Amino acid sequence: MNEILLALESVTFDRGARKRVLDIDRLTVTRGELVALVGPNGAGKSTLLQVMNLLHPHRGAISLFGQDARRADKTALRRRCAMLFQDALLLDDTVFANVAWPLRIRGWAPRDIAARVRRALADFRCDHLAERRARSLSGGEAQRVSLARALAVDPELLLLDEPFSALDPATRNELVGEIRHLAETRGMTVILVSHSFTDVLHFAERAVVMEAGRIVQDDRPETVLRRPANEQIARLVGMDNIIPCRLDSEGENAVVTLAGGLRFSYPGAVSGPVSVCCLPGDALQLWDDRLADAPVPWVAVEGRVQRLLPGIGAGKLFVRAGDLTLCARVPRTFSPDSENVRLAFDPADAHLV
Amino acid sequence: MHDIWQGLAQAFALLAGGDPELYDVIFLTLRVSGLATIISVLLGLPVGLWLALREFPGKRLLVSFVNFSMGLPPVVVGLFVSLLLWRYGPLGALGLMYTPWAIIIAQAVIASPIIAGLSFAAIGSLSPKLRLQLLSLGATSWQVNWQLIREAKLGLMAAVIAGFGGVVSEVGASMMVGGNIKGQTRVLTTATVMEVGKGNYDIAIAIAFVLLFVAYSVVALLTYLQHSGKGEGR
Repeated sequence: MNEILLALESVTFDRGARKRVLDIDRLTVTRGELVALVGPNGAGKSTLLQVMNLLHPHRGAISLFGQDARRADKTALRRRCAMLFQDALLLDDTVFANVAWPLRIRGWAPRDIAARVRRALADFRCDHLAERRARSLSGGEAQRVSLARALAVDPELLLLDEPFSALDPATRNELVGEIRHLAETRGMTVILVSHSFTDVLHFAERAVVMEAGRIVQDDRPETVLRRPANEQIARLVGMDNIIPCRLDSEGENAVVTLAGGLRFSYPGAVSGPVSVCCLPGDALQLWDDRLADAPVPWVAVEGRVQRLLPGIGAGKLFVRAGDLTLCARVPRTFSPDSENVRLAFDPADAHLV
Repeated sequence: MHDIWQGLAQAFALLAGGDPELYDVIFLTLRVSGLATIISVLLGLPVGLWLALREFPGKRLLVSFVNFSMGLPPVVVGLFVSLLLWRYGPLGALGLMYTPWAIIIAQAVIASPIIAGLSFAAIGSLSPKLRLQLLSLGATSWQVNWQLIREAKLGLMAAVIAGFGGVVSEVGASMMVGGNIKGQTRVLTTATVMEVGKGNYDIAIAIAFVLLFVAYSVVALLTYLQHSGKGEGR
């Protein structure tokens, strides 16, 4: 099961003479993995995907399906992969001809092509579109056809470069779900580039975070969500509280001082300089007297209720405590009985970067 | 105004009368300009494709040179081709001067840059990601290039139409390297110039209309091909 499908080592890619857009030390993907590639715009995610698909000359070692990409026939390796771009990039022809194209260039017999095209179209519920011109499709239909075209060849590795970013959230979740299902039933490996972290949570078991051409974090999506590698990633994943802070050591203890002046001793290990404290909204709870008995003392904050944003699962409560605005996720039964509220968090849930 | 109507009537009369001399000139015009266009497609299209798909230092300079060559004055081309084909010129031994091949060569020199420049623009206007998409679907580079040509068909046919239109209507080069020899190198444009020179304005106008008619027929055929296979979106 742990066959390594793709391995990159010391891979770099330069655009123009000077600009290094990709600098990957090491990245391996095993067969059947569902990986999300996330990062801010311009981080090199799309370029990395294109380099994995051997579409650009690169430096360093890439091994695909156990073969050294520098020596193997690139077309043969590409034919075991499929890649989807942000635009559907359909040919100016019928839907049928579009899905048949990758089979035709592989020299399939017309009868086999027709059967496979029908199956691929049915997989994405667009059999009824077969005779339509590709140009006449809506955005969602076009992207479905593009997916059917990519999957018609039964790729072992599917590379998705934000193919759903132009679609509405409902269609998008549906398609992400369908691809996940197909990937699981066919044992396909998928690498999805996305800047929507919702997609990532829906889809992947592993999130690789990129920034300025490098991989800065490679972990489970939930870990990235709660313990992002740096401040920019924290903003990218929508961390509720990103508070400037200072870290001092007092004897054996590390003491954190938040921007508003709130101090607490930090139990976790810290490496490197620290500038902000990330606190997920669900780490902040309404004060409960039982919390006083916790083995590690919780940190309490008192403040004035500013705003309550309703939401499913949890509402967002904004509390002004001194110079600090905190965002806590509170149950929907919560209604502030006074203007002031007392919140508390376990210092272990705080994440310093 | 009267002359023009009379010329138009005479043009129809000439065509309907099946004057063999006129038909010789028409067929030679079509053969020469058609062949020159085909040669220009074979030369210009790969250059346009190459310019559109490859990045290399000095590309802009080369593109500007191709764009400049799209407007080469036929007389200048005629002059240089004459110098090459002249009996004592570098290609004089081939004996091509004052033959239809001399006109074909000159016209190909005129049309190749037009087709290269316009097909560069046509291929360049496709999404640059399309090439990557086709490669990633498993195509070899030949399959990619062929498909890109098909995708840019509208623009590429416009390039062919412009190329044909450029050569069928030029007179300077044909006159210089062909010599307007009756029955050998006389094409519609050189015939028109000659008739004007002789003061036969009525015949000149008639031939001019024939030229327009022939040119339109070819362009209409190419336009039909340009749009064939593009059914209405349903």
